[in-house]
Amino acid sequence: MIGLTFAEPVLLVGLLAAAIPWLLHLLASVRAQEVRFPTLRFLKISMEKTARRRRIQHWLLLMLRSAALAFLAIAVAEPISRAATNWTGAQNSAAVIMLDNSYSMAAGRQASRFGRARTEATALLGGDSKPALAALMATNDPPAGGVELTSQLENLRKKLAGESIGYGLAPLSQKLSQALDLLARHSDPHKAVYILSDMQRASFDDLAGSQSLAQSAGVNLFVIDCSQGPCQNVGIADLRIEGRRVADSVLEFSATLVNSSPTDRVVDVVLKIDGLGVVQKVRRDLAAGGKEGSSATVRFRHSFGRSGPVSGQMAIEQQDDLAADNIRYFALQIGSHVQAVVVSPAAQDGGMDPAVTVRLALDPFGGSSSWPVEPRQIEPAQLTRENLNGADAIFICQAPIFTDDQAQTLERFVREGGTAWFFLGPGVDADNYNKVLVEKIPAEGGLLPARLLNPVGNVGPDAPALAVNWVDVAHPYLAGLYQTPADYLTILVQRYFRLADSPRKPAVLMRLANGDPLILAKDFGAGRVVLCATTANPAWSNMPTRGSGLFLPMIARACLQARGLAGADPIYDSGSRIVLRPRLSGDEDEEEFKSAQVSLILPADETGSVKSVKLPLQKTDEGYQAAVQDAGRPGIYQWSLISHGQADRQEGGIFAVNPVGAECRLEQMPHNTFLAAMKGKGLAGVYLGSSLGEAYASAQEQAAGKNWWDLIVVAVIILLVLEAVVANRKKMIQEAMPAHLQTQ
Amino acid sequence: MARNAYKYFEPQKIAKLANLNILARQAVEGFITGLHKSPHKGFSVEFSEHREYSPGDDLRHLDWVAWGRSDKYFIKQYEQETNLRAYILLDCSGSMAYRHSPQGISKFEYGCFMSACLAYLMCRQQDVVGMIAFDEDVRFHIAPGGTPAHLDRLFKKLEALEAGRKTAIASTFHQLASTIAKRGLVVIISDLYDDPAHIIRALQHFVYKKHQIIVLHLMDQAEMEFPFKKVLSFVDMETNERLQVDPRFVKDSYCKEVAAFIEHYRKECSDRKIEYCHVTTDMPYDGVLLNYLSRRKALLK
Repeated sequence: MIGLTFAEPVLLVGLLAAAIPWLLHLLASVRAQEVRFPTLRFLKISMEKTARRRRIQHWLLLMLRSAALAFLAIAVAEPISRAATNWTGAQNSAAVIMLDNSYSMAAGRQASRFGRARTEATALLGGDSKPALAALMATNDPPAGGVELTSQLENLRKKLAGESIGYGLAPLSQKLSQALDLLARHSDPHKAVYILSDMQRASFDDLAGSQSLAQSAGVNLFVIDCSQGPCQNVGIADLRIEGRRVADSVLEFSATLVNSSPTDRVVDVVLKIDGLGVVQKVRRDLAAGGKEGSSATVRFRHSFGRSGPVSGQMAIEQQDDLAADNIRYFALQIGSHVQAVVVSPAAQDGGMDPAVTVRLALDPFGGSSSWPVEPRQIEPAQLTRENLNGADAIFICQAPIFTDDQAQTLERFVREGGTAWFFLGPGVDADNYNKVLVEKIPAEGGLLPARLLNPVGNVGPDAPALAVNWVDVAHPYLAGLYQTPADYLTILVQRYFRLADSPRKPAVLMRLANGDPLILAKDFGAGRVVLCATTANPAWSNMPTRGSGLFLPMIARACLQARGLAGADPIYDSGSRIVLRPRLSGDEDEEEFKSAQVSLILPADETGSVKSVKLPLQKTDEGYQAAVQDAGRPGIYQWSLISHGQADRQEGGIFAVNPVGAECRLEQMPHNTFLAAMKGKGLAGVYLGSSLGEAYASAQEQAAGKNWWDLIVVAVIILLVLEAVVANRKKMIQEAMPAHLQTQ
Repeated sequence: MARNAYKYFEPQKIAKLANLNILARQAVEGFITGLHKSPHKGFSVEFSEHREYSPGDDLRHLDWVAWGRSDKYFIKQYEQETNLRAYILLDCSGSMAYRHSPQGISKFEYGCFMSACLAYLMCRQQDVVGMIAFDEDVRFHIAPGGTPAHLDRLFKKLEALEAGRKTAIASTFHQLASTIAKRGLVVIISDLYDDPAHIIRALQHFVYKKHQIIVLHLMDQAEMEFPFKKVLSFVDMETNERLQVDPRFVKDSYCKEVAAFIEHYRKECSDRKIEYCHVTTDMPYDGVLLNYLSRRKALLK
């Protein structure tokens, strides 16, 4: 809202001059000089033809002339605009102080930005212009359910002293909306929100891009820029880990380095493994922030020789103005060798071992310790829960039938993340498969991807064969084995079980020339089931022999990727919700679990002291779990289950917490950009300064008003130019034309 | 330097035109041998055509060359030449009294100068010239004559004439076309401010009567350029009708209308083989006549 006053209101009498053109018009109409003319016939025609244009031009000219005189009179009277809701300081004011405690606020050399913000906030709460009512919100604190305006400013100062840096992004838009809601509940005539921040673009983009702020009418926004100029900082924005989390498998650690410094920087980045120390180190040159080359990626490769939980960090060795983003922690659960179980009946006399090629695929080096898969073979009758303990994948070759218990064992195995392959062949009882593995397991449409129909085709040297004419070359089991899709089409099948269509639409990995699927896959629970309609040995097809280039890698990949289905790495952003799910042994309904707790050891603080907290274990639909509420500090957390006192630890693990990566980009939003973006959002005023005093000065300057006389004089000149253009338009056009083109 | 005896006759200017004759473009009927072709064929010096010999023809006119080529007798016929009977029709309506500049001359005065000049030139070349002044009616009618006394009478009639009444050009022309019996040259000096369609029909009436027509369309330069700046109340010189106009708004349209008006006459006259000459009063009339007659002479050769 803008109010308008005049420095010399008396001179507004000059507005009467706006009537002069109209009076002249009337006088000219009455006293026109008479001229004798030979004939009026052409004048009458011309008057008729130009009547409309003359009328428009006539009134336009009159209005332009009147407006020019009126504006001139207004300019002479010196109009001054004043903000309708001037900020006058403390009287009857209510203020919400939003303290940015995202971790970019920790930057700074002598004093951190956060320290500066706290000082300004303290000055606001204790100075001459202190508000009558105030509330304090830290941007990285939990949602402000309990925040209220209070007149006890001393309490707020104490609370302010206890505030500390968080490690996430500052959700400014959300917090400002909460602050406005808080102020809207009070009727004070003067309301203000103070944002004490470093104006980091990562946070302020969200605020500047927000929609019109509800409840913002009459509220002034003061933004105190506590950045104190640019900082020297190179941070690690993210950390990605690729590869199989199994012993002896190579993992690739890659991270993005971001330089926010005003100068070029050279940094040394190291990969540290807890217990091993620095295992690798690289050097990177980075251009100054904002320039090309200010960001770079570093990569390390490392394999863990033993299974179990491992942790470590990627770190920048050089110190800078913001330490928190120099380290990214990681925690991984490295598994032992992938455990594969091959279920196959013994070979008949003179017959072919149904699982011979599966074993070859799973153990190509004959028991080498460097091969990440450890296969073992059992008879179908030995398929029990105990025999599947610790297994990641199971390959069932021509098992004739399954009992109900075996079916339940398989269902549980797959549901918990295991991978089960079924190879069909001679002796397989399709009815038993359909009944036990499909009908009696109603969840997710049954365990098998499709029901089995009768086997078709004949075997023998002269028997016809069907070719595989379509392979899903993008499937993780098959991708990248050959250069062209045509190279995959080498498999011939003489006999196979036809598979019924399933409404669940399982993924088809291979299809025969007649359209029948040969290999189907479906996800079941956390695991996967794959069904091959023919034998795993060369009895019914050439897949294990001529197609071995396809078959052997497919089996090995299926086995290795079975471990990958177990879940994501335990690495979290600071402030995110972390749920611990201990794997309990025994009956979950036992009384001892109901009183169990999780002991969580927090990372060491700045002083080096280590604290631990105890979290209650709660039973949910997904089993027993504990929620971590205090995982803001970056580092490695260790947890363990306590069911019968300290002595009886049964289960535990580690996880890593890192700051939000975007915070390491210290690029600041330009003041003008922010002020322009906040216009039209409904706030009474937006004032910005590098200190409280500067922001107040800006507010007072705006309240003092602006004299618009010079702009109005410019408007008068423009009006006069327009008048001249309109009045002489035809003449100008004629003069611009060459004489020989003008009307004779 | 001797003073002019007549108001509209300036011998010093006419001297420039001494070598020019006003020739008829088509055959005209006269009563003496003159400069112009007669419609009557005879035996004179200008060969016209052959006709077959018939008994009784004068053998002096037998074409022996034609007999030598065709073995037939042909008699050569010759065109007669006669003097020209001309009528000058001068518009003296109110609109002709207009002059934009006080120092300039009115269209009427300009027309009088041209009339006197033309009358003198034609009499000097043995032609006879009559004069008709008209507005909504015939103001005076002087029958064709070629003597100095005739010219004296004509000049004095012009001096006594004043412009100032309404125009009815078309009806007057129809009336004159009916009354002028013998074919001749009709020179019309007027601003032609009447309904153009009616005027053209009246001119056609003259053409039908086998007169040769020259239209000298007189206008003041101000009528064409409309050089007025401020708001004025224009009064029609014939009807006294008033119209208040801001010239800045109508000037363009006015000039286009006037140009179209002139072009209309130019085209209609051209279509009917009527000679049309647009003249403005800021041009010296002797210069205008010199140019016009020279150009005309060249065309007739």
